[in-house]
Amino acid sequence: MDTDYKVVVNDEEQYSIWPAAKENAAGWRDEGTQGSKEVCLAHIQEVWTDLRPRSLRERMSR
Amino acid sequence: MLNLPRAEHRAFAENDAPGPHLDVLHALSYRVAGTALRLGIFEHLTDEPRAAEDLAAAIGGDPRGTRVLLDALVGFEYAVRDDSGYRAAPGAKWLGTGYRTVFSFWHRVLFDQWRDLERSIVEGKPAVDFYGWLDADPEALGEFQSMLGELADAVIPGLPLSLPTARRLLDVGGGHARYATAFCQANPDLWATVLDLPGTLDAGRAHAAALGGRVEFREGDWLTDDLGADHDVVLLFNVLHCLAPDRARDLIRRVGEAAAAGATVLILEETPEISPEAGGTGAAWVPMFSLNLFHTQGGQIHTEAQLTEWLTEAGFGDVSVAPVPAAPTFRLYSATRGARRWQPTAAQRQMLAFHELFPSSTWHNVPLYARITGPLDTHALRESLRRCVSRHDSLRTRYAPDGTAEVTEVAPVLTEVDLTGQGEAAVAALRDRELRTPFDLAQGPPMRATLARLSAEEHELILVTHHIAIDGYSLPLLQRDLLAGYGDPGSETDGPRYSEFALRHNDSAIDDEQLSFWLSELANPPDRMVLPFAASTADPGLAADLVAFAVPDEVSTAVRELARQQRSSPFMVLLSAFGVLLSRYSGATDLVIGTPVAGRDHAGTEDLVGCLVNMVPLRMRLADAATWSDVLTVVRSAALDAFDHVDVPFAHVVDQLAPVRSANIHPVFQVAFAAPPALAAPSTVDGVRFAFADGTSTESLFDIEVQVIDEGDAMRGYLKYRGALFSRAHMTGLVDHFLHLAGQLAEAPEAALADVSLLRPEQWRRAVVEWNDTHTDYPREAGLVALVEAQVDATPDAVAAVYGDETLTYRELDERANRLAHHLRDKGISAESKVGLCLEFRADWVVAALAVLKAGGAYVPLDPAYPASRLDLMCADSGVEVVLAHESLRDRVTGPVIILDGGLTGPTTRLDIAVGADNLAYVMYTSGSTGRPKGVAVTHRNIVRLVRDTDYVHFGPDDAVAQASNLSFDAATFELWGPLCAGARIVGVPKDDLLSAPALGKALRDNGITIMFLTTTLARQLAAEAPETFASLRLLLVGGEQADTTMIHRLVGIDGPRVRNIYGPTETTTFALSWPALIENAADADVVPIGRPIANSTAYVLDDHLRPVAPGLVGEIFLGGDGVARGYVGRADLTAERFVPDPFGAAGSRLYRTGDLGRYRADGLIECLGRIDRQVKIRGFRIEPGEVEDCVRETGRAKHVTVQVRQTDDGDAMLVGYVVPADPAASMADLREELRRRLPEYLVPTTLIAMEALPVNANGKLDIAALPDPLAQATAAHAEPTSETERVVRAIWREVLGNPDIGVHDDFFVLGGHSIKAGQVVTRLRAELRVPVSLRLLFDNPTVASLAAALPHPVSH
Repeated sequence: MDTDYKVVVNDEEQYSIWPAAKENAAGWRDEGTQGSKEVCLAHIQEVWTDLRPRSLRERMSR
Repeated sequence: MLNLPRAEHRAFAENDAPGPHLDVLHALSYRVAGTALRLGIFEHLTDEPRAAEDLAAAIGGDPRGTRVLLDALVGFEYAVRDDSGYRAAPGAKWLGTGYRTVFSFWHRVLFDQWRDLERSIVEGKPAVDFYGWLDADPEALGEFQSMLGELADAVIPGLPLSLPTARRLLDVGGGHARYATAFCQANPDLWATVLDLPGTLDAGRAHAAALGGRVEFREGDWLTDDLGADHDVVLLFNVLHCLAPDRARDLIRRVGEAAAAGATVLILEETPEISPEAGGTGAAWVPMFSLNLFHTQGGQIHTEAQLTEWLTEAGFGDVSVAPVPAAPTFRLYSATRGARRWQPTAAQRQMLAFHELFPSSTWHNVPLYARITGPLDTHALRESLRRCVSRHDSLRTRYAPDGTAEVTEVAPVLTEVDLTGQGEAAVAALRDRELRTPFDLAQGPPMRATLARLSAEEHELILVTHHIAIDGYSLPLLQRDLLAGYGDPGSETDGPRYSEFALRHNDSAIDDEQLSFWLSELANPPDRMVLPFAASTADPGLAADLVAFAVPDEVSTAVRELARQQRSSPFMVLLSAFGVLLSRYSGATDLVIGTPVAGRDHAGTEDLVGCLVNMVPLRMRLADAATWSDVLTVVRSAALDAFDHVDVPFAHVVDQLAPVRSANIHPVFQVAFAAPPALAAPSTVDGVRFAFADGTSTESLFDIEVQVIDEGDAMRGYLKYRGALFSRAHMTGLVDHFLHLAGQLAEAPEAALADVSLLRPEQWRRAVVEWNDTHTDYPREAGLVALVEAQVDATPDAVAAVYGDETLTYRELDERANRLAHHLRDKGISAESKVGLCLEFRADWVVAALAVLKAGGAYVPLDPAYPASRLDLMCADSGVEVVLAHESLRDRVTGPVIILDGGLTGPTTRLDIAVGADNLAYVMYTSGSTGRPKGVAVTHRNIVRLVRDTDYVHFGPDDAVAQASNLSFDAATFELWGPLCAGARIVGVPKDDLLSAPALGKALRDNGITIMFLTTTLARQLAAEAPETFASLRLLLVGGEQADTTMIHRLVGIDGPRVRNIYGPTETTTFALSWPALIENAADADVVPIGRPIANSTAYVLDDHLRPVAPGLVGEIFLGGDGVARGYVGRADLTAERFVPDPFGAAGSRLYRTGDLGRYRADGLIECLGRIDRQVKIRGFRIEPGEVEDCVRETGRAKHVTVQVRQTDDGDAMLVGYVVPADPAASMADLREELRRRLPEYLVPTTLIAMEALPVNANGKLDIAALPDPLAQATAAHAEPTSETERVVRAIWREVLGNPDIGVHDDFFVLGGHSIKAGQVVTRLRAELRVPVSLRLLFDNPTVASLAAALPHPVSH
């Protein structure tokens, strides 16, 4: 299986991809998906439906 | 007493020499004469005739037998007979010479062996074991010896005894040692080996005793025994006639093998061509020897022609034959072994081929220096050098133009130079001069020796030897022999010969198994390794520079320890680090690095000074190596495999591989890595201290060569590089990285490579922290609306915007924007709502943009020039809820529209809407690589960071900022919000003004414009035509494409505005980096840098693993900080791909990966090297078109140029250069020639197309799609105009474009038209046809036919 990349997410619930073997950058955690770049990006396209950062979303919904 | 067998009797009686049995006659004659002598007949046979009976009585013999004997003597003409009796023949001098001993010996032989002899004569085949008999009879032996001694005594004075350079003599069958002794006496350095049959040597030993050990006696059968090797002289005296022809020939062949190259063979032999009668005393010898050997070995006297043929077969040449005065029937043959014959080794032939290509090259000069302290005996040094050269024939070999090698006696001369009191600089200069002086290999010698006197107690010896005669492993030997010879004038001068090695080496067949190993190992070779900072040049020349380095002790200790643990060598450990380094530098994971192998496995080679080294290519496949340990395993295995297959000369491997060859590129590998042996430590001889030092030549065919020398306590080395390819700064950095990597490898071999940084911690900190220290206090949490409103409140009457006749004060702007914002709120616009802007170039644009923000929404510029379908797509993609448009453009968009013409009514009060800094401000579309536009979502903070409290620009209330950019181009962000957030003035500059230098200059001056951004393409054109256009500006920003130094120089040269080269993608909000172009720093930049990140932004050049690359290396430019946009609207996947976690910034922050290649300069400035996806490979070479463009500009022949890659039909790629020539009459062929001189062939564009101008698109950027496709050039004949209008349009085009060949369907821009030309066309059309024509019309209708059709009908004729 191609596990070059993993899906990562930060506190603002912004998503990105990161080399699977590489330690996460500060403030980013594993989202749980791992695989080829295509697999990771397709997953993100599915789950990240609102590009607004979490803090903005929360403020706007108040 | 005589009992002649029948055959003899018949022969005698018939007195008839039976051809083949000449020797029988000789035997008979001998026996007859011997018998006569023994009986005393000769004593009685005088000039006085005597009767046979008288003689019988006198000798007391049988009268009958005596008579037979006498008749026999007569028959052989030893006696004559007449009526009065028998008497001695007048010519029979042999009886009375000094060779009596010889004679008596032979007659004893004959008669004592009588019975056997008789039988052998009858049976006609050898039967007598002459030597066995001789062996068993000491007395006979003594006689034999003394007989030969007599001959020797007579012959020696006439021999060529002086052989000054010969060191080893072999005397075959010369047991009496007289000849060997004579040669040794004449030559003090000569050592002789006398080889003869057992028991034959005692007399010789006695004879040679006076010479001490210089004559060595070896017992052996020279018919079968090994004759040894490397003899300089071989004597074959009175030997060959002992042998039957096949054995004589075999002996000569073996002598050939035993002789060193250049050795002499001397043969003393009777000649059958002189009759006994003519030869005086010599007449005695013929029967004597031939008789003997006929019966023992089947020997015979060989003819001169026969001997010459055999000598030639055995590798001897120059055969000469000289008479021997003391023995007229003898001849002295001399011949030289291999003098013209031996073939240089494969490695040497390679060097000779190189030498032929580069006759004045000094690449192969190998220096050895010695600093000599103490009372140097120059004479002793000279002698020592002489002995070294004598011992090592490679040092006196020359290489004929026909490709053969020849050992000569031409020894290097020790040249003395007096540098007393001139200091080390003079020594260094002398060393350098010697290093830079080429050798004439055809003349030889391949070594030069210079002794510089520095003071009475100090000298410098400089030995420079051509690599063809020496290698790294030879240097310690040379060092040893020099010292030994200095201390002991009797030191060894004997030893193995390189010429012999070469002969054996050449004779040995190529090992097919080994060759196939190499062919498979090197199959599918990687592309030529290209280091990112390597210069491209047609001929990189050979000139090389050095960076010397010392391996830090902690690194060398760790390297040795790791080598021990991993059962490898320090060489392999270091090579692993070097491989990783090259891989990092080049981006390649498949490397071929050359390394020398000593080639001294075979016995006899360990003491040889000469070129034995063989280069082997090590294939390092690192793609799967995850840890250091993996790399070491790969390297170790590659090296061990290679070392097991070193017998195939590299030259053969190359021949078999037949790679694409180029004289100035080393085949198969361009980088070499070596760990040569260290020189010996300083030593003192006779109170004189010799401290040796190594070095290297000042040239190289290798792009890079690293040598690491392990001196036991320390490791040091140097990196040599071709000066035309690399700079010293880069190479110094490379060495630093190498040592850093080696240290990391040795310390933590299990570390993952992905975690290993090239950079040392301090370098990493500098790149990551210092170069990104851009923080300023700016209103980070403020929205744009608040900032603009603050300016409104501060200076309500100041002018905010001027577009032509329209002028808006800040108050007016605020009020109009408020009014519109209320409208938008009414339409449901709120935070994050999108509002399209499809507007003419008017002040309304400023109002509309501000109004959208005031309503809380985000604007989406919709360029009316875009096709409606594309605009629809953008609206749908971004979710535009309403579009603000001018009436003239309303048909461009579908959906809800607010028309701005005629103004709006409603409240002008400000809205009370909290817009956050992280709310969306606009969505701007950029073309994606796939063709589908991407909407970049930009927030208020992104923009505020661009224009407030920043460093590349300062907007003040007095500034006027040109608003020249298309509204859908993100430079408009800068042009709009910069002035508005500072109370400055926006001045709209229409496109038509931009395209004409005078119009633009006027617009700038008339409006007092102080700050302007211009695309690089436009700025370049204007800079080329009229840089003074910008004189009135305070600041000119140029960006969007790669700037070139010419343009920067022209812009800076007018002493007008400050000029900044500026860079940034839409995704990080307009600008990210900038570089102030000053005269002083413009001059030294080959590539115009994009500089450093602007305030509150960061920039990194990272490798594939997101590690900062070292200065000089190419990586991808990543941008961070507050300019990083939110992402791509509706494209979470694309956003996640391009906006990645920022490992260097605040927790959770992101970097935008630009897709642009970049690199750090040493000072941290970043250079942009173009798009990653623009980089292409053609014929295996990685090509960056920008590099070719730079070179075209450097020629000075091009005003503008772009180089593009075009795919050909067969899937190949080719480079096409589009050039606006500086001189319109210049030919592209000349430019091509010039490029050929400057660039490697693969970088010279296949096609160069002359253009009137380069096409630019609406944003002022190069319009690549509008460039003509050279492959489609073979178009149909130019279509002719069919209407009057077409004819007029074409006539105008012809004049403007300066091109008569225009068809009505040809594209204006393909024909070289550009915006400025378009402006001219429009002006002319207006004048001639009297119709309103816009630029847009021409852009939309770029052919004569379509334009003519689109033109409004003429107002009148």
